[in-house]
Amino acid sequence: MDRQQEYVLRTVEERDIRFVRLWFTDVLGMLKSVSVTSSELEGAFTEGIGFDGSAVDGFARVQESDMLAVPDASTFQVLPWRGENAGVGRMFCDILTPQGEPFAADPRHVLRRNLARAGDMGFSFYVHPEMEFFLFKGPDDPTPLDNGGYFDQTPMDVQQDFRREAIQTLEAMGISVEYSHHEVAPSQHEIDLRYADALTMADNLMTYRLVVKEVAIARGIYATFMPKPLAEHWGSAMHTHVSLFDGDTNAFFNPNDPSHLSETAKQFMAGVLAHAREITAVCCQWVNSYKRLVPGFEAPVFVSWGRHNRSSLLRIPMYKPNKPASTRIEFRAPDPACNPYLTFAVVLAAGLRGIEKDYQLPPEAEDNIYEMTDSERRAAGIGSLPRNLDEALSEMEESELVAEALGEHVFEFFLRNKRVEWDEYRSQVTPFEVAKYLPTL
Amino acid sequence: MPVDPAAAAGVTSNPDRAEAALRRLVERNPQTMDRLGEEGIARLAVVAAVSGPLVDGVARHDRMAAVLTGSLEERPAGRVADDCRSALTGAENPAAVLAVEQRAGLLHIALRDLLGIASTPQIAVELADLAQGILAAATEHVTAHTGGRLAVVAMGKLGGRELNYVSDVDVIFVGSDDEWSASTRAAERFMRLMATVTPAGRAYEVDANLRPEGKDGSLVRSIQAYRSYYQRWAKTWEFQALLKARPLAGDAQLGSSFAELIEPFVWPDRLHEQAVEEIQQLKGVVESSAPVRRAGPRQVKLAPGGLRDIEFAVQLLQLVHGRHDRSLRSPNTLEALDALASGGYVGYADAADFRHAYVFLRTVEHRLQLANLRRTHTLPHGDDERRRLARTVAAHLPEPRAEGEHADLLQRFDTELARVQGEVRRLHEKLFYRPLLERFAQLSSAEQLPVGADEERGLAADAAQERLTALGFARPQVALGHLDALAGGVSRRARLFRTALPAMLPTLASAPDPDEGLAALRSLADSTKESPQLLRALRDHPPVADMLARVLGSSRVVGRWLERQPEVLALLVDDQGLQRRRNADDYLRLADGLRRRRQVGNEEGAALRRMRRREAARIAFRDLAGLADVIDVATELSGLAQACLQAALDSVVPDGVTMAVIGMGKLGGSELGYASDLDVLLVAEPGDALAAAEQAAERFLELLSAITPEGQAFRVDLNLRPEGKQGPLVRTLSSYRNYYERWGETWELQALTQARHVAGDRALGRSFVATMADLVYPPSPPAKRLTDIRTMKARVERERAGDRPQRTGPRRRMAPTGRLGGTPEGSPPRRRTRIDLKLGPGGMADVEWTVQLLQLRHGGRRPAVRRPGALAGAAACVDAGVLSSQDGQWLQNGWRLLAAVRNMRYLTGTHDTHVLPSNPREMERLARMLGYPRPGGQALAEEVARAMRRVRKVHERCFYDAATP
Repeated sequence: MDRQQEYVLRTVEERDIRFVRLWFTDVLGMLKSVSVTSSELEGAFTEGIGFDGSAVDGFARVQESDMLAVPDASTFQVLPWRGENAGVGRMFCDILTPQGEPFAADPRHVLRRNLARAGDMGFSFYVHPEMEFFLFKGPDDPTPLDNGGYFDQTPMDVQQDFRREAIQTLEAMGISVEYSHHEVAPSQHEIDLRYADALTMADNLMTYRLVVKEVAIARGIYATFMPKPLAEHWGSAMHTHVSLFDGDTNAFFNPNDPSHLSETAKQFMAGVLAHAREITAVCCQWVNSYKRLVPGFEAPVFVSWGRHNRSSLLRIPMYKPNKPASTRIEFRAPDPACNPYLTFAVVLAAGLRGIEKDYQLPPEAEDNIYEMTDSERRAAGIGSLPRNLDEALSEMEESELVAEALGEHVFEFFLRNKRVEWDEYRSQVTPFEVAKYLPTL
Repeated sequence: MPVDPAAAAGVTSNPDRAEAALRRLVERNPQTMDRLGEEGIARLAVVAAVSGPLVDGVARHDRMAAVLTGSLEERPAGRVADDCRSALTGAENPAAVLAVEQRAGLLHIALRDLLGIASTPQIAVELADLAQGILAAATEHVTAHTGGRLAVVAMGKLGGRELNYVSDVDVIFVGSDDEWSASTRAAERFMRLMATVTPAGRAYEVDANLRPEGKDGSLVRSIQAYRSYYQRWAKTWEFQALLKARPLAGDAQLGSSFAELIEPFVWPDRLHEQAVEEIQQLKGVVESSAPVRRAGPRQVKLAPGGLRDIEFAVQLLQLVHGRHDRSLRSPNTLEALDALASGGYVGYADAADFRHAYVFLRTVEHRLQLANLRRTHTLPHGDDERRRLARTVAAHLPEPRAEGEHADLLQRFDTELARVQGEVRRLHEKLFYRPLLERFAQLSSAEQLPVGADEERGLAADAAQERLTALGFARPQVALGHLDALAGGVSRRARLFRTALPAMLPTLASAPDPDEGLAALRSLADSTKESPQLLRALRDHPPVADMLARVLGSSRVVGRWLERQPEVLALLVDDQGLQRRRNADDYLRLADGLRRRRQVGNEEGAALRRMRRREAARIAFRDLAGLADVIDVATELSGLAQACLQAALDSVVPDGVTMAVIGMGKLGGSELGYASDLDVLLVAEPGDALAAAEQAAERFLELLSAITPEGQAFRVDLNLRPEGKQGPLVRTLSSYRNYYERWGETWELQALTQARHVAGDRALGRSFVATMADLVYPPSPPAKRLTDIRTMKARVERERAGDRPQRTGPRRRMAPTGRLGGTPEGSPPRRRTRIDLKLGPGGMADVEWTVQLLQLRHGGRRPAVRRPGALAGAAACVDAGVLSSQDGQWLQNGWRLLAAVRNMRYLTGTHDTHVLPSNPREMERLARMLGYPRPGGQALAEEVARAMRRVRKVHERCFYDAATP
């Protein structure tokens, strides 16, 4: 029993918490939850809670289905929306095999394994995602609640209250919020979390998605992280700012470089660019994700980087004088419906590969890439991101990097699961087709 | 009085050094020297030869100079405390007073040490008593100011009364609930006092971090607070640390309440799981070289075979047995070792050896630390410095054995150190395993002794079971029964096992299945009672004992082979023979010997079958002992098969008939596994002797394939021959050519890619292969042939997919908690439940088909690719440029891994050798057999999955994709 666990047990006792929810995440990024009573908690720490792994997507073959969920005491929080008396707590779990070995297909472990590789190279990995989402009337009614735009101060309404309460709830759960604002599309919002190490951040994002949904439900509205719910408006992105730290120093910062980027940062960027097509399936894992990655909405379409260019896949945010610690790279492909553990894992793996193999960073794309012709882009060596899930999966399938980063078990499950999704989608007849073809053909 | 430093120094261990120190003192401090007198200077010289800082201290502090002229009686802690008390009275700087008292105490003890008045263990006790006295005085001093009750409890080496010259002292504080804040103030003041740096340095570095919650925990706790902490929060290592706890100073009542409190925590009814784990790892720990052991054997504390190993082992034994035997609970290492010996938990002789080793290493450590009063455990690198050290421990070195032997002191020192460390490195075997066997020695001699014999000795049965559990045996009672059967009694065999088993048991305990391994050993011993091989092998060849333990602990199958075929054990004693890979010629020579002794045809080929079984056992033994890799195994099995075919053929072919055996399939490729059949074709000349040849072929099959009490030699399979079961067993070369030319189907031609002459007439065999090559490898193969092969493979896969086991019954599914997408209902894609290493996607068949297709496509124009065997074929394709080198590597690495897994599966006795186990325990076992570190089940699964994914990728690209060049 370590001090963290001790602290949890004491808190549970003192605050009269009757139930603790043990959370973990399946391969597709869905939050799973098992409730234990406070009296079972000590046993959960020492022995774990057994469950049938075969019932969780991507976890196990049938015969090896007995898994153990062991709560990570450092993630303990009281759920603020469950009322004051007889509170409910939650912790994230690590999944172990019955032999007590970390389970290879646990997304948390996948990320840990990649973080450990970074650690071997002397780096810790920090991320700062900008999560966007829409508020609608209901899950089957995507009517926007306003007609606002970027940074708009809409009149006092349900949405403002919503943002305030969501932020308060997050803060109450120990998750620091950087800022929030109305986004470009109607009814679209962004709440940014303060940067943290990747594992903590992935845990936080799982909490974030639940909190946003819970708060919305409480106000009779519906929050969605669907990447592109409205064809004619901007989609929801999860622009992810990343940096590597070597101890207390930002390994991406170099004061003598014109863009203040170190060699490490450039190699990291080169790695992400070189493997961008392979990791897209993980960062943008749904059929709908690719409806977002189209020209016209400042979403990345091409594999390029730039300092000011918001259509780039990688962007270098403006350097603020005397803030070397905030030097970072913004990776703009992921959407908020990804599995954050796996997404951070593959981005990190791609970047580390660039450092290990000393990749050369291609020249910056200065112009607006959308205005270039195909030939101009080809001449400049700018490729495009996969245009749909099918293409992304084919890219991923060929990637040893992704197989290694995710582990064979997750890699195989992910591809197989997503192929099924694609095949299912392929057999649909869409309203677009009916509207376009039925009258004329 | 005139001082003669040279004379005084001359009689010490390091005259030069002593003289220099004395001269320095004469120059700077003549008055001190005058006061010392002859006796004092002689004492000073002895110290000066070893320790510089102590001499400097004498120059600076009269209190220390006084030691040189004072009594050399032992000073118990009480005396030390009294002296400190009077020195502290009215002192302005109490910290400085204590520091000087401590240096004076050190000097006093060093004199007793160097003059040989007290032994090394006694010195360690006195060093602890010195610390106790000083800390007691310090405690009184602070509580006099603050009030409040406070007990100081010693931990670590101070607790065990085995302190070093230079060492931290570990303490924890017990306060009383009533005067809480006073107790805390006292402890804080105590820590401040001890931490104050004075011109004389500090008395001790006091470390209170072993307290609950370490640095962050509160400095003082009440008995009640300790109790609730230990009941709820403490970790196993904290209890282990408490083994050394001893009330030292301050409030005696609180101290003894604390001692009472911790007893049930240190000695629980059930052994802490972590202790069990540590014991199991001890062998590895002792043998491995962690970074901390970088200094190598010069590190007397942490190096393999160092002090730490002894202390740790003794402590673990205390934890195992001390729960039920109070006599074992001393916090002092040597006392505990003695108690373990007299309780029969450790052999007397072994205990004496370890006592000697411990004392020797501690002496070296003491001298090392005295030199500069620094906390060091590392011997100097330079010869001169080490020689100086050697002189100071000369009394502890064994005398040179022979008069004439050149007895360089340094050499003797280095030799003794290496000997002692070597001895200690075997402590796992000696302290943990040997007593299990000595128990039986005692039993048997007790039977012969009159009643009332010494019954105290020997590990009692329940203690032995306790020990076996701790060592990793799941069924200790059964294991003990096996040990009893092996080593109990007065027979020669029992005596021999009592010697051999201590070395074998650690290996067995770390094998994939210790219990089964021990059972196999017993069963082997029982079944080979009549033949002396096993005992001889164990007696004369200790490495064989170790290997045998490894093999038996891994594979029940090989255990049974050895039982039936004890003569294999005779092969094992020949180290050279076991190391070396045998080739086909070696086996042919063996078979030839049989033939010359006319043994092949006799008794339905019994001799041949015995040879085959014996050699297969040898190969498996090499495999499991890590002496042969998967290629070696395949090559040896193939060579063995060839020799058997040759021997059988020789005994059946009549005069006037020339016959050759063509190897096909895995035999053709020299890639046999343990369970492979031998696919062959038989070719004979001349045509008019075919009837005789056919008869000979029948006898040939009978000889090899007959199932007898001794099993089969090989399953020989002739079904690849033209017309299959309907066809004649033998044909002439021209008949084969005519058949294949006119009727040869694609699959038959594909099979011929593996054709290789393996036995019988060489010329005939070679011309068969050459003739067939023209048919198999036309300059450009018809497109239909390639399409046929692809279609055939696709059909195989389809059939394979058809027999995938269906799920039965409803299954629980967890509903998604969020509504963010999810798996489409109704079609949950699941991982295949069965992973088929041979026919599954990416299996060995994918490698073989890919290579064969490439060979058929390109063999016409590039004869170099015509190589039987998946590995050789893939390599040849890479060399010829028809397969990329990465693809070639993926195919070869994949095939090798899958073949190795399949071989190990066979050796575990399963029939499903081609299926990867889905039971995690089985996976773990397989991983251990393949040499993965524990836990390795998931790592193995990952590597197999990666290998198969890559093979599949190459297969799809190079086999199915017609556009690939």
